[in-house]
Amino acid sequence: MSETLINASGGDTITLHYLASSGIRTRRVRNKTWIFVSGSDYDLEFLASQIESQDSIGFSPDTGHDVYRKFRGLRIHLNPSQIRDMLYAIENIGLGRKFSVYNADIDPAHRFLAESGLELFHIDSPDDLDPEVPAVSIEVMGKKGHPEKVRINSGQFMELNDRTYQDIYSAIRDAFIVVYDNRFDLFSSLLGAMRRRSLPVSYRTLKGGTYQSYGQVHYNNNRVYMSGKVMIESSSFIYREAGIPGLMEMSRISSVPMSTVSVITPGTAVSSLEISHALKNGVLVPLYKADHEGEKTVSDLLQMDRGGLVLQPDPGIYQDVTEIDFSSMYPSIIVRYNLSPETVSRGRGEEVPDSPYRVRTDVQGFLSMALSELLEKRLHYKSVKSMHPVYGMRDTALKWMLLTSFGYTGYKNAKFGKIEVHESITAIGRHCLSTAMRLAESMGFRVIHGIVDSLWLKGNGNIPDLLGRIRDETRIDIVEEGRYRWIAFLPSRSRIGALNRYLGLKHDGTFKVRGIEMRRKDSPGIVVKFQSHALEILKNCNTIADICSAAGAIRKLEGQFMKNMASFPREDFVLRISPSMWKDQYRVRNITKIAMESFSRDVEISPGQQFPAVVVDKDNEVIDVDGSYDTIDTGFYMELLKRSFEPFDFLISNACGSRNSPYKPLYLFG
Amino acid sequence: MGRSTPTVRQYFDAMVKNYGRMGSVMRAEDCPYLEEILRLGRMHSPEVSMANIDPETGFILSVLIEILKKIREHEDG
Repeated sequence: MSETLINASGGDTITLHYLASSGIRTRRVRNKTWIFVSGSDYDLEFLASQIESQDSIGFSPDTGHDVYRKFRGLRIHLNPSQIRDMLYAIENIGLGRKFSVYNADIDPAHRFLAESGLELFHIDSPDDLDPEVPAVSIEVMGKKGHPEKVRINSGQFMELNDRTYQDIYSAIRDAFIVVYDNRFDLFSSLLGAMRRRSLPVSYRTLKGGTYQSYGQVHYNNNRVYMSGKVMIESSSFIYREAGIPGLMEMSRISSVPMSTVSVITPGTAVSSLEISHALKNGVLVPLYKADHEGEKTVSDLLQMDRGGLVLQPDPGIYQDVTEIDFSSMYPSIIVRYNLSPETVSRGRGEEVPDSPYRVRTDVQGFLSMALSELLEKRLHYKSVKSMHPVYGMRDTALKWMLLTSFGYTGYKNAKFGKIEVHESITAIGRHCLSTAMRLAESMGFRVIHGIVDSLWLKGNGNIPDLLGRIRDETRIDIVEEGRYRWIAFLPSRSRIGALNRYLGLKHDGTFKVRGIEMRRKDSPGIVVKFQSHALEILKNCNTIADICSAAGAIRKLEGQFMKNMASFPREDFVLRISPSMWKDQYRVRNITKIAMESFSRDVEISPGQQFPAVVVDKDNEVIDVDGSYDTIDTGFYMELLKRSFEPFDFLISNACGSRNSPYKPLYLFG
Repeated sequence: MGRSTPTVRQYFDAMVKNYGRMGSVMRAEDCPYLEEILRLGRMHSPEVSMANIDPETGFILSVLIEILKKIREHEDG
């Protein structure tokens, strides 16, 4: 069996871990690197004279190129550990403005892998399964940072005693990948307890913290590092979404070690992939970029600073509806329209619709080239994901990378981002969707709704023919996402159609549900159960008339849930609390603030740190965060249940044509 | 990252909030009509956004389109 590279770490020395038939093999390689500095000949000469006096650092005049152009500069050869001091010196010598520095802030292991052409978790064909790396998952239960029970690889929870400590030690020792859950430092406390029992575990912890991504507040638990292991905290976004196969796929495509991939956002992974592409192709990566946005007039800003096209649906139930979706629309636009910082400008090239920009098509754009492999791979796994769960997880990981690849073009610190590219993507996206609408209407369809890359069309026209025409006109692949027996677009509080709140039954018997309580991660189980049961009833409804006939069964179900609330198990009342601020910053004494205050004084909940809670008595501000109570606040949960009835009440009143809709006119004022 | 100017929908939401103050001093029986007009004004926000026209003009156009539709429906019986 050949060896498979599964991890790389280090700086001046890179440690490579290989999976071999005999187990895990380690190899260490000396790592020498370089940075590139450009500036005027005079300034570069002065810089060279200053570097000459340094023994262990060499340099040579050279030519390099970034995504825009070729230029002359100095290639400075040094160890990765010397880069920081060198940057400090360059900054001082150049007064912070005379030099541009390249390839100076890339993780040494990542750079080593990309420049050496080494691939992590290599597979010969995209359809091959992943190498079997020994892995273990450890889950700890406890109160207030004190571990009480543990389970290994999803087995039974075991009380902690000498034997279980020994079992955990053996499991960790024999594994290379360790998945752990360090909420409230339970895992690091467990390792501390093992050490006190003279079990030779060596670890260090790195403080986690709060961060924001796409307007949401998240929290990274304190992380644990163990030498020679890949440590994955189970709250890692990609691990939760796509598991170990997803992390391996991200690692494979971006050349970033798996433990790093597990703690970075998909956007950073895309950025790493772009850097890998630059390193492999000799394109210099700027330390600081100065091209994130060109000057523009206010009217150009107002014209271009727009997102995707989202239509306004009329609330109601529709039959004979087909949903069509552009596949990976924004990344496809980047690739197929050759969008990249150096190809988009106001100069020459192909016109970007509804914008002042043009795209050069005589040169291959850096960004479109860097993302093309990612896009092709994702489209492949999307087409085969039903054949094996691993393909599905790879598809999910790549999907997240593609989703963020668009956003990163508008991020000012993205190495290869540029606002004009971001604006061109959304402009072309709006053009594609409006083109698809125009074609659909010309072929006899009625457009019911549209969200950025999806359209819902009513009618019985020729869908394959329509899709072909849309593909020809837009250059973007589009597929039929589903045909609905019926689909209901629900109203918002202002009674106009909510943009992303609908539920529909497809012809294959599956539902597509968006925006209602059962999709929300903070809804308690009882709400999810009610809505799931209600959908079960609606599963047999082929027509709008059938929905009206099911009204009695739905009403009965509502009654049963209200009446039998006390008989549901306690876990059905658990709310997932996700604070977005420190507890003192909440002005209103809402559930979140009270729940945060319900912990003992030695536990401080950080913004983004999620935790389960049960409302025991809302009026008297009693919330159970550690299993100390047996009762629940029935009135509070009844209110939540009633709210979860609303989408179904709308469905029934609409299907039955009731003039006495439970949706009373909403008076916005007085 | 992303947008730095409000969307047409956000602009409309702010407009409706402002006009809501008008409702607080209106006769109760007139309130539903104001509310209905504000609802109609928001019904064509995607088109207003796509055309990149002044949102207030777009709001009035939206109300006119919907009223004209209702007149036609009424005429057609």
